[in-house]
Amino acid sequence: MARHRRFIAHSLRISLFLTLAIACVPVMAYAQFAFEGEGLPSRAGDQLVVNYFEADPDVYETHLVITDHEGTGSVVNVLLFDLDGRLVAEHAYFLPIFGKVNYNPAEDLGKNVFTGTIRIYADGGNVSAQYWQFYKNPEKTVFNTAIPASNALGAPALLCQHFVSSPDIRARLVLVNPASDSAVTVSVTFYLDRGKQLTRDKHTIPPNGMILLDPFVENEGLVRTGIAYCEVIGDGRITGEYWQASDAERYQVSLPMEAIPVRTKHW
Amino acid sequence: MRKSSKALLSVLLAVAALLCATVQVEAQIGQNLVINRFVSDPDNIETHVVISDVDGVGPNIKISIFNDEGRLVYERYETLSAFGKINYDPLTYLNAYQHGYNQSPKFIGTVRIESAGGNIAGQYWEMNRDLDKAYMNIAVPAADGKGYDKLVCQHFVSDKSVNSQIIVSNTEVSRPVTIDVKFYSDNGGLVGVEKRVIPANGVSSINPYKSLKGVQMTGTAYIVVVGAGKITGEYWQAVEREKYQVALPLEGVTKIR
Repeated sequence: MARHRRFIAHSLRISLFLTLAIACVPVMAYAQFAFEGEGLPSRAGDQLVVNYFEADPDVYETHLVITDHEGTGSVVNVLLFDLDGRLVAEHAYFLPIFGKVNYNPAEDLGKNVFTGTIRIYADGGNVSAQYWQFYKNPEKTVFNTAIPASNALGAPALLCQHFVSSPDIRARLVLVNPASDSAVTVSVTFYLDRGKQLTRDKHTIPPNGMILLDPFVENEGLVRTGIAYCEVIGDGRITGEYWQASDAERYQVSLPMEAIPVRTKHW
Repeated sequence: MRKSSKALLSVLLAVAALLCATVQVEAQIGQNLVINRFVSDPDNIETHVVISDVDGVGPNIKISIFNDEGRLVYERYETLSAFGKINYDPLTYLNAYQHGYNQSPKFIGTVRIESAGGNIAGQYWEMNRDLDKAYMNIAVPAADGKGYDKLVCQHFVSDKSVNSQIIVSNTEVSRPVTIDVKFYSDNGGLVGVEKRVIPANGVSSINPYKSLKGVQMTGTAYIVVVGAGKITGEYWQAVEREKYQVALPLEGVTKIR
């Protein structure tokens, strides 16, 4: 009898474990589906961020391209925020079904010189967007660049795969807080190419705001190349980009930062 | 009592398994990456492949370069430092290498990076040696090697004076993939369709101006896999007269027309 009870208890334990394991399977599949290419893409969504936007009517011709790739004919609201997260201008567009809008967001700012960030809210479906920055002066067109918008969901950790810290290079890490209701504290850690840690500093980004970090300043004048981890302390998410230009070599590139898993933190 | 504690342990194990399973890595990083377009032109171009260790495990990685037909030209193994990266020019090694490369050092191809350990992220930098051509310097992020079956090129230019290319890589290692490239106007009207077959590990460049038989326009292009297969892609646009070049990753999406 006791043996029979033991057998039943053992069977129950196994079936409970199996039930839970089976229950886990669809969640695992969904999680993989969501993040590995076939699910939610990282750069398309109903809320997007153009991390870095510069307006200067005498210098730049900027283009914001917003595409309705799902064919929902969404209404998109475009909001311009300054570095401190203050709303500066807003505009609404009706996207043609499967079409796009391509306009100069600086037109909403008149003659003002401005650096900030752009938020795109789509009502009706997912959209994708790009930011193109062109120079009006033909001598400066070598610095023309284009970069995809980030998904405003953001991430708790971002990787800047390559930075240059040098007085001859204009390099900047652009970090944006996509939340509109709370500031976010970010720890930025710079490493040498071989993984040796250089500096780590904390920065606070206001809601809808942005910070610009020059690796040469952050690393106190050290001339090196390396890799940077940008990690949120506590709650919150961020989006980001890396821009690099050389006046001597006459080029500029801009790259989105990669969302990465959260590391174990020791601060 | 002992039975209930064992049952509790089983429950805790299952919950832990569930939690581990849901902590997944977001896109743009992974164990397989694709650099869609790689140019080998040692006299004129200096290329840099940047590969970073995301997880801090210092993984072993394999870097393979294929030509546009998917033929292996170069293969190299490296080990990343924990939380570090490698940043090197494959052409420095290609000079002494391999699979007939010495006979034909100029080619356009694609790069595949496989990690034997943790997640990695990658970038491709293409720098011109001639300062007068420095305006053509670009950098693009590597694509997730798992690929997509639908890509969106948000903005293309079809113009004789604009050298624009939609670059599509086949991420399949053993089978060709058929794609439809559909060109739409800014207002969403279909203008043209081109079908291409890309060999395994290969890459194909589509010039919108040629595909649209000389129609001058801007618009959106959708690249869709016909049947089975996965692809990744980029859009490159250069204007020699205006002295600029930009390169953008194509967006992988699940739902398009």
